[in-house]
Amino acid sequence: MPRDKTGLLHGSLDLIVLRTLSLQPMHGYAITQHVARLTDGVLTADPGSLYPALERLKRNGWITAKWQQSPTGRRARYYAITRTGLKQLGRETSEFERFVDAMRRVLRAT
Amino acid sequence: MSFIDGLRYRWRAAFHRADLDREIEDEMRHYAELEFRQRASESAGRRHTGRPRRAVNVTYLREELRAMSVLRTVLDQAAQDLRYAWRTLRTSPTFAVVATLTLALGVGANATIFGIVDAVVLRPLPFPQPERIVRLVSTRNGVAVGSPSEWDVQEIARTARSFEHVVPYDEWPKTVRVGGRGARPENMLVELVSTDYFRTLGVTPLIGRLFTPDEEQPARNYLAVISRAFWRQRFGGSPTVLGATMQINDEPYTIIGVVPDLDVAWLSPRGVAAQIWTPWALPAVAPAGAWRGATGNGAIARLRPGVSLAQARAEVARFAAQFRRTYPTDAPYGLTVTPLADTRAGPLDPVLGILGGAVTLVLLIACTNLASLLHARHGARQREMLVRTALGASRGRLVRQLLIETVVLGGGGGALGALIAIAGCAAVSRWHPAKFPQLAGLSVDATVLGFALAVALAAAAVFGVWPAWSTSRIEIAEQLRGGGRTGTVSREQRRARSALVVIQIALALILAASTALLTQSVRHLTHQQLGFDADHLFKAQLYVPPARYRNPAAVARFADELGNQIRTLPGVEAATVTMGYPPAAARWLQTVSIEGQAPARVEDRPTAFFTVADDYYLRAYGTRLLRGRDFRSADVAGGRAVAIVSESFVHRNMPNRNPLGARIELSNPIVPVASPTPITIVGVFQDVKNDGLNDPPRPQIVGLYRQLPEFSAHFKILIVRTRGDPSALGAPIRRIVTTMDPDLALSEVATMRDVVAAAAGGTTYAALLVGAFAALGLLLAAIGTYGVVSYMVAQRSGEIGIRTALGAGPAGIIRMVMGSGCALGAAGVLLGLLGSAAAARALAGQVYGVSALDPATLVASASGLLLVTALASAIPTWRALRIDAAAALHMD
Repeated sequence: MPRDKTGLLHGSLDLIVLRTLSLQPMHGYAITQHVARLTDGVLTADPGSLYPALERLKRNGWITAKWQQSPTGRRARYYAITRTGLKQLGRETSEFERFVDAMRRVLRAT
Repeated sequence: MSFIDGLRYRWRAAFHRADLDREIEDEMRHYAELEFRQRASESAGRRHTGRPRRAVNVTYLREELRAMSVLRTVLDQAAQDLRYAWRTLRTSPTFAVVATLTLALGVGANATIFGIVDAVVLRPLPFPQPERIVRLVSTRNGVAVGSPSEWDVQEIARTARSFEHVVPYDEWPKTVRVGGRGARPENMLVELVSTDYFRTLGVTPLIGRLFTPDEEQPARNYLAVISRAFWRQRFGGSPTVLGATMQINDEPYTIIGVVPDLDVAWLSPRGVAAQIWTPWALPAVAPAGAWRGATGNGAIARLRPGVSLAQARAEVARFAAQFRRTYPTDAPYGLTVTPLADTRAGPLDPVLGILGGAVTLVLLIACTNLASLLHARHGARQREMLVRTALGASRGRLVRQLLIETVVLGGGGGALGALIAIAGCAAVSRWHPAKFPQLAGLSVDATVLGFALAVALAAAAVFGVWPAWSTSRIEIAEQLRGGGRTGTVSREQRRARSALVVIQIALALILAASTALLTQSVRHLTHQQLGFDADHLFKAQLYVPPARYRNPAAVARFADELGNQIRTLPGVEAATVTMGYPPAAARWLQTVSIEGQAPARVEDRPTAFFTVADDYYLRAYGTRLLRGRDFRSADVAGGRAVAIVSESFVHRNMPNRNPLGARIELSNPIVPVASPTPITIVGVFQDVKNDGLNDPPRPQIVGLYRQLPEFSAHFKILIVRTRGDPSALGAPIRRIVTTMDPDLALSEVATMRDVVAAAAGGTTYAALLVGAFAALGLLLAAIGTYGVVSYMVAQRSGEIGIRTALGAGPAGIIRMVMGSGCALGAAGVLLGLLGSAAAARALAGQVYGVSALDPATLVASASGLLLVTALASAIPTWRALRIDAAAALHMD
């Protein structure tokens, strides 16, 4: 099974980031924290793969980046999902669900 | 992200890398900071989650993010090449400076001349739809000879279908006074224009209005339109100027409009930009016997939309045919139209051709010099190339590196050349002969700067490819045989460099020989036999206004009194009041009938230049009387009218007859008379240059204004011969004029030497500029020769060292080094002589009084060039003599 250096299933990092950002705009560190909290540390998005992923999503027009004041009073780069990003999230979610469904069937088959 | 955002991002990624890097670092620092706090709080709370964290590798991330831009990669590579090129060029500053300067001089000279061509040929005229404006031109045997008469133009304007407007115009120097009596009178050129003049050009007034057709009627024409410059200077730019009056020849004219400064001095027959325009009041019907042939006036027209030049030409040709049948004085003439823009260069045209040729030669010399320099440099870097090839660099990569270096040089040379062109154009705009008013407003625009850069880059690319290619063809085996010594160059490459220098010397010789020919032409033009003595001669002009001098007798009285008073000034030997002044072309051509030999057809009658003067004409000019007698005071007004004629008049018109006592009649008087006055020839004088400096003397008739009132205009020329400096006469003569009539203005005050120099202005200018280019070419060729010979000395220093060690004397070494330099010089001179013969054809139209293939000129120029190559070889020779045998042998 293809696993990249993030330890994630290939392509799933994009989905995780898009899903996370669909809740609210966040900066990079907040994204990793959010993912770690939700999955109890099973899934991590470390900066070495998170930032290139953010860059890639930005390039595709799915998210935007903007320098803003964070609540701690420091300048931080906030990422927000765009309209096309939301559409992409929908597409990828159903794709992933189909994939998970298919995997489950394969694993259950006797 | 939209497309535009994408572009913006890429742009930022490509050109604002520092910003981007800073952002990435900021973001990473922020991340690290938050993570650190998190860990701190975690360790405080003894909670432990999952796996250990990895430290953030900022550098790695930055490279990762940066590499995501494809454009970035390409640009990075180019930037790397450029950086490398810059570094290598900086290691040899002399080469870089010499190469850049060489190119800059060649390009700068070219861009300057291109700037002139752009301004007077290429740039569209500053009028709306300029392509539709044409000039009406009279032709005789297919050659343009001036403009059709105002009567013919009027007739064309009435019925022609090709034109929206057809307008004749004329100009006269007049006395202009702004303000009441006592205000300073000034002699200015006033343009007499038909109503539609400004509409033809497409000029609209800044304030006020233009003329209307009924203001062309005599007595209703006392109106004036003035230029913006004149308005600002004399009326302070005030709108109250409308309705104000000014005095022109002592008659009041009301100002009705102000037009923009037209800057079209080339449109005026005298080459002066008019500042005042008044309606040309022409009777609707031409007076009987009016001259209808070619004139020195102007005539322009605007084509109707959709009418082609060919259609307009066909129509005016039909008019010409009709005029020829109807009017005797129109018989020899044809008519055509020329786009106005094509007449802008005028007399500058042949000069531009020569200058264009000269700068092309300079550029070629510069380029061959550059090629030669690059060749030498690449040759010297063969070891570097060898190493890089051995390390696996492809030949394409090496050539690309060399080319990028050349492009850096080209860019530098182009930028510097553009600066030179800016300075050059400013200089030309400031210093040029009065003959070429087109050059006054010369300015450098983006086209010229673009031209400079394009020429530089093209030259660098073309002349850089070949050396790069030829040096990159390194035979490793050959190199190994050569022991990999520094700067070992194949015989083929040495030959190539020598060939380049030979070409340079040849081109420089062509320039030098052309300069010599032009300089001799100037000398010939200004010091030729003029038929009079141009030294110690003063010239001025004035206009005696008809408002206060109503008839020719009054004008004659004033003129005679003026002449008498001037003759009493100390130092004055003779003074005459006349109406034309050789060597300036008089443009007053008369048709002559000679008693007893008048041909039936008008067009077969002889023509001659004509002027009226007082008794002192020949004495003031110092022209010799050959036969008969001069005028004398007994030739009184109302008595038998007499004239003196030039020897070519006799030779041309009455070769087998005694001219003395013969009677002639002249047609077309200024003031209409019932019957022409018979004039008796009483004397013959030597020919005088009366049609400019370049053309042979034309037949000339001189009469007395007191005897021929119908030929006496209000416009007079003063010619005064003095023992001293003629320029010192201006002040006392001005005082005499002011005492006699304070409202008269003396103008065009000059010495005859200045008049002669100005008439030769075009050739002088060409000689001056070509001379400057020749000096440039010689300098570059000298640098080229020096480079090749010093290179040879460096190459063969080992050999020279051995020879010295074996006891060779300095004579042998001098012979060896100087010999190689002089061999190049001799080959270049031979080739250059062939080139000069070809160039002589191009120069033929501008060379006077010397054969374009004058052997003495060619020999002198060739010797000069040989001397220059010998001098250029002298320094390397001296260096060769100082070579220390032991050091040379230990060098490698």
